[in-house]
Amino acid sequence: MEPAVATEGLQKRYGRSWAVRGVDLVVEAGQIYGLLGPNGAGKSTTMRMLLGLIRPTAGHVRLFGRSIGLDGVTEPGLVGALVEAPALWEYLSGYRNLAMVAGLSGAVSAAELEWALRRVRLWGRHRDRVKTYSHGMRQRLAIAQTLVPRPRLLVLDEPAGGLDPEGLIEVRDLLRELAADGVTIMLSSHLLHEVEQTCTHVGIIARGELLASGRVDELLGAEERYQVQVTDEQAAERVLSSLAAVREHQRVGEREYAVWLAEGGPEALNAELVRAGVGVRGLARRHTALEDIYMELAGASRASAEAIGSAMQELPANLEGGPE
Amino acid sequence: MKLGRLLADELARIFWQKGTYVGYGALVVLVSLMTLAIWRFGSPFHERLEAGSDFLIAGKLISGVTVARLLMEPALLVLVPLLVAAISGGVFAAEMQRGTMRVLLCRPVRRWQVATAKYLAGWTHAISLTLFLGLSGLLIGWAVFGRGELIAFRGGLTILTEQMALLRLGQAYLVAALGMCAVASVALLCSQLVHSPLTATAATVAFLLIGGVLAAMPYFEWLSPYLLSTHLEVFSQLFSSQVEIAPLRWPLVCMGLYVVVPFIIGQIVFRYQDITC
Repeated sequence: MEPAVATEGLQKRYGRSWAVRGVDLVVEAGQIYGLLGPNGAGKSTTMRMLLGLIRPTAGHVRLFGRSIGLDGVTEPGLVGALVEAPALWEYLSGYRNLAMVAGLSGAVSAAELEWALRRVRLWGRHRDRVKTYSHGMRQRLAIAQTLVPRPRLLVLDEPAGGLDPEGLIEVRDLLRELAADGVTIMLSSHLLHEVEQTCTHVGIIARGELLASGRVDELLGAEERYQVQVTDEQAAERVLSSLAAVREHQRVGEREYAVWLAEGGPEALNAELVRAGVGVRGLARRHTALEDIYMELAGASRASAEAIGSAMQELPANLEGGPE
Repeated sequence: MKLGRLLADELARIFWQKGTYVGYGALVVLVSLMTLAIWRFGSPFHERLEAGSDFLIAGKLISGVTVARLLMEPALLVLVPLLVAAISGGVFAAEMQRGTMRVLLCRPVRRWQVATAKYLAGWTHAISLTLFLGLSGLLIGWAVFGRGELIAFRGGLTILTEQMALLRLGQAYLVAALGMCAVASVALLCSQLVHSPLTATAATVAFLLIGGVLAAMPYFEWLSPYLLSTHLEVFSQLFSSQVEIAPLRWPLVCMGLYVVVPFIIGQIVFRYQDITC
């Protein structure tokens, strides 16, 4: 079965600056894939290239095996997309906005429009002009536009923008419901908890490069660690350095360590510390948040970019701008 | 099928905006003021007729067709091009500014279809505005002055029967509509190149004004046959006693080129344009 999204060496360059460089991405059908990165990381550019809104400088995009050319997605019902902030015709009603956009994918029944509007809690206000809508309502209407006709792939760029907590939960539920119905979802966000709570898979992007990609639980599971608070820092340091069961340890605060165990459980660690006369004031298992992985990867990327930057400065001027 | 749907949507977006009707309202106001002025002070032909003492004026000098004819120069050389530029200048730029262009292009439509629908809608608006001017002039003129012949001055005095005058008016307004389509095409292309409707409108108006200024300067006389501004007044040739086709040919071809060339350039630009709005 063809992946829902596959990119190969996707690049976009504006003048001398790279927006996206060499992104190889695979999103299998049925996944909820989150593209995570800070503002300016290249998420939106990547999303736009997937949809044919921006022409890649190099590389290819395939959606369900179909190559995406200059005309973007031309097959009805294949992709529903929301790119950045909701864009609507303010002087038209919510219903008319939805009907106008949905109609471009072929015949759409009134029942489908009603379902989408009810699903985003806009039925009842659907006859009002969009200019009377709040930001959250506009966001919900824009999400409704992506649902009619029901797409095989939903591409959402920052779908949580402007939503209140209730709206966020509803969107999360809606995405899970759609995924359960077999809709593949790809969303981008700079909100770590949103991706962590919504997505099955995640790709971390920074400075236009895809730094990591995989299952959310695998990424988190691989980095399980313990947080230990002790009374005597010097003694604790000595014990943690000498113990074979401790794979790695790191001072994270005053009399506080992060410890990765190679073998054994936290009870063994506790016993060893106490035996050495180190008082243990706290010992807690800490699931690594996506934030930690993200910060680690983004930090590494920044360091490598800085290293490349200083190397470039040392190059003779005539070598600059050579082959990338 | 898809093109028809896109065109219908495009027209709906133009005609559901209150701002669009400001243009039609302005034309009604202009026609009414002009009719009022003619009713109060008489036709500008009066003075010219009375200046030649060989004339004996008997019968009706002003009729509905006179109003429709007298309107043409002031409205079609200034007001209508401005209104056309204001609407067509927003067709692409407003979509870019709002971000709705990306919404359209995320749907299963081809770019050439979207661009074609937008140009067709711009031309439709330009034609509708021109014909509306003629019709409102005729109807208000008939209501105030009744029916009658058209007395026109073009290389001498010409009196056209009402039937002939209506035919000539129809032809003249169609020629004027072609000119307005050319203005719309220029505005639509400007609208593609900038992301602000106001800038696109200003650029179109500047294009027309600069053309007019250049045509009036002896250094640029050679350029005059190729400027759109030069040909916008060509409809007046249709009110001669005998209409000659040869002098009309190049102005019509030139205006046709001003319709088609921006459209072709616009298609190429739009095909390769990154939608970053």
